[in-house]
Amino acid sequence: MPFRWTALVLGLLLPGLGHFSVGERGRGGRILSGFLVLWITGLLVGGLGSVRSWDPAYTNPAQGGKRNLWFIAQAGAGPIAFGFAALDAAVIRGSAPEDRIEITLHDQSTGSAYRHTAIGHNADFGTLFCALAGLMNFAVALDAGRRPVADRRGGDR
Amino acid sequence: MIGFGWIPLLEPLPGVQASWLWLLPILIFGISMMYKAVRVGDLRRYWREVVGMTVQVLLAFLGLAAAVFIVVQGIVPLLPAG
Repeated sequence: MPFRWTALVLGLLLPGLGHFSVGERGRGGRILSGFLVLWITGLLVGGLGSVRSWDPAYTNPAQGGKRNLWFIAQAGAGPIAFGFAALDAAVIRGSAPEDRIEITLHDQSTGSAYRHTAIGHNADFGTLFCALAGLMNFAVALDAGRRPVADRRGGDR
Repeated sequence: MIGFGWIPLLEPLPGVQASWLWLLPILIFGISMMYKAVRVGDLRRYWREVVGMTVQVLLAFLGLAAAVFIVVQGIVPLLPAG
């Protein structure tokens, strides 16, 4: 059976859409629900900064922007991840000077951060939840690509 | 305790730094939901499978924590210092 690239791409565009496109509507809905549990919990715990493409937590943007490697995993959520990263860039990283506070970083350098930037477990778990949601969605989208349309294994489909 | 001034999605959730372990069941539950949506054959068994996997993983974590606790608190102090 040939790999269904369309289902893979649709699954990356919106979690569950790949399975929905091959007729597995029941699975698609459950996949989207599971994704939302992880993604929304991550955003609630860590705030918008949980999904960030540049300047990971504990780095000083003034010393030159660094790519956030966690975003590679989060990007598995597709446009949702890029949309929230853009939102983070606009609201958190691009915040007005009056919304920023001076901070001392682990290398004793002085920087500034948005006053509601998550630190500690908030930053860790917020990032982790969204990263796992992205990774799981990538694996699920791959499954959509290899799933036959006529597969009748799934009860109410 | 969650303050009334908390703005969801913009500000981090208050209280997580002190009590973060409760996030673990939610994390495992979400992963189980996505995993079992793909793996389970009959979707009528879906929620039973999700709860089963969540409980299994949590029990595995508890077992590992107990094992590490015994090693660190019980066995390591018995070892000769030199």
